[in-house]
Amino acid sequence: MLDLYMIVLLAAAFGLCYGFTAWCDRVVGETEGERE
Amino acid sequence: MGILQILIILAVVVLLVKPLGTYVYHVFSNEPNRTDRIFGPFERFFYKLVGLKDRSGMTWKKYALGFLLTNVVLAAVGYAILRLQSYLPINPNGTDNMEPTLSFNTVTSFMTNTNLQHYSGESGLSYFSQMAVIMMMMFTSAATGFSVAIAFVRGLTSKGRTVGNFFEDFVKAHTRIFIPAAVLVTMLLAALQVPQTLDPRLTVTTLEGAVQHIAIGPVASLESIKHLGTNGGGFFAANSAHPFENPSPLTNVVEMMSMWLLPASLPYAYGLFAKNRKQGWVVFGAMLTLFVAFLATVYFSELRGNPAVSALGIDASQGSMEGKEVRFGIPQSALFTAVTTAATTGTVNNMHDTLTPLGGMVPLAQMMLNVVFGGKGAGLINMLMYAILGVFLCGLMVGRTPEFLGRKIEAREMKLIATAILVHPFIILAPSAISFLTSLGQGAISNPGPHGLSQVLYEYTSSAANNGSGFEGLADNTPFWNIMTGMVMLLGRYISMIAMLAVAGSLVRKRTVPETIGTFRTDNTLFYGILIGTVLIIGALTFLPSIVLGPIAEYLKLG
Repeated sequence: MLDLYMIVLLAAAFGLCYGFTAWCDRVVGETEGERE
Repeated sequence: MGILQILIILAVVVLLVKPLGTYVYHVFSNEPNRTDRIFGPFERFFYKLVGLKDRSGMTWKKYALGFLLTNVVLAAVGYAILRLQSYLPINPNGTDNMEPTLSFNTVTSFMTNTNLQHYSGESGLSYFSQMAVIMMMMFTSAATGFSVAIAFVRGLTSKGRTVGNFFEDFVKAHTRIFIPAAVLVTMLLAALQVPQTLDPRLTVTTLEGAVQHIAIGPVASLESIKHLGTNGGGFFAANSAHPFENPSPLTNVVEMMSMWLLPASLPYAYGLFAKNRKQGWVVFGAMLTLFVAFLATVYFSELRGNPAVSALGIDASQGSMEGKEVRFGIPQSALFTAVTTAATTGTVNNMHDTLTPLGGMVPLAQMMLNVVFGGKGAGLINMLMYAILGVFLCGLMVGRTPEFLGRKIEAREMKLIATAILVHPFIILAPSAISFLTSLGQGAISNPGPHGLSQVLYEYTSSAANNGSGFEGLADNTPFWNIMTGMVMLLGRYISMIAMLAVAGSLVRKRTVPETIGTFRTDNTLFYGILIGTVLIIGALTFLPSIVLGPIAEYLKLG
């Protein structure tokens, strides 16, 4: 059972990182400023 | 004599920065060079083997997802091996399966290049686990960090939409840097009496007639990548203080050089990417200045000794030798401590718990700043993050739009940088507070007062900075500490890497602004001072109160 908790914990941590990547992508995509 | 030893080692490092930085630049610049003839065929074979046909550049997001996905797969494989090691081959000592929370901690620790160890290597892991999980992740985590740093530098210094191909960088970091260097250092260490064998532990009868088991194994090969990859997890629990891991002052120098040279060469490689070597030297100079200041603090503090020991009438003329190896003495112990926490390796040749209060503050402070050379890529990324912050602050002061390497720094980059800067203290201080407030956390603290606070603070700082060294003295192999530090290591590694890749992805798309007389230069002495000032001010604002309650309070109590 503890194995399952640990796997869920790892998956949650990577899920959080994925969510953070998506947030960063939104920040980078903000329209103000100069772009080529 | 002690200072002379240190100066010679420092001089060798400074001399090797240029050739090594040039080599790193040639490896990752993707311009044709002589090394292609040697390594190209291996790489093409490997690309074919894994079916990597498309090696075109990736956007920052694709690059970030590439390294995250690779790490997920490695974590899953590593966890399965640790949980099933007793059923797997190359286990001559009959080591049992690792406990689930400890497996979680170990896998996250080695995958994130932290290598914090809540287990004893010689009794907790089979040879197969040592090689297939520990050593394998020592290569992959170092290559991941190196690749991300190079992608970040490409983002700052090139034009377009892409920051390189993660899988190509990852393979090249292995084939052209870590594997050849590891083979060389392994042979050198084996020649210097470090064991390298798959034989089971030795059983000997002592002169008193007692039976003693002496652990041996593939130590030299693990030691080489442990240092080259700024990993730090030792084959033995005593780490580089163990006579089989680090038998002599000469192996001590080899190990320090192994962990120090590649991170030290990265600023020069950055200068080459930026087509402005002075940029690289400014960053290197700032790192070296901070390093020398920290090294001097730990060296003179240990040399002065412990007043409490002197008060007992014990001769402390050699300095504070408690927890240190006689074969290394104060100079090589102090230097090792400064290097291992600057390069965020985490290997130790003396027990940091028994350093004098100000000596113990040095590793703690270097990990809190996490910019003094840093682990594979992390130090350069963080220092450049502070450089951009410094430019932004100066821009605010003089009312000019801040620019870094000809690109305007705007709100979006500062949002990402502020997030990365704030996450680091948050994941250290919040879990420390939780540990002090709960019985699960308090139960592990073996010292009362300021030293106990330092123990807890050190554990989370080491985890967040992906260093991995332990202050020791903390009873940390419990589900609470395994899970808490595991999560801190994951967040410490990935949040700042992702945020900084996003900054690179944002900057790479920007128009470059031509340099004018009003441009704020980032390759001169003034900026070198601003960079050091920014690092110290941010570090003091976030960590000074906790440092005062820990090592400084302990120092004042000693008198």
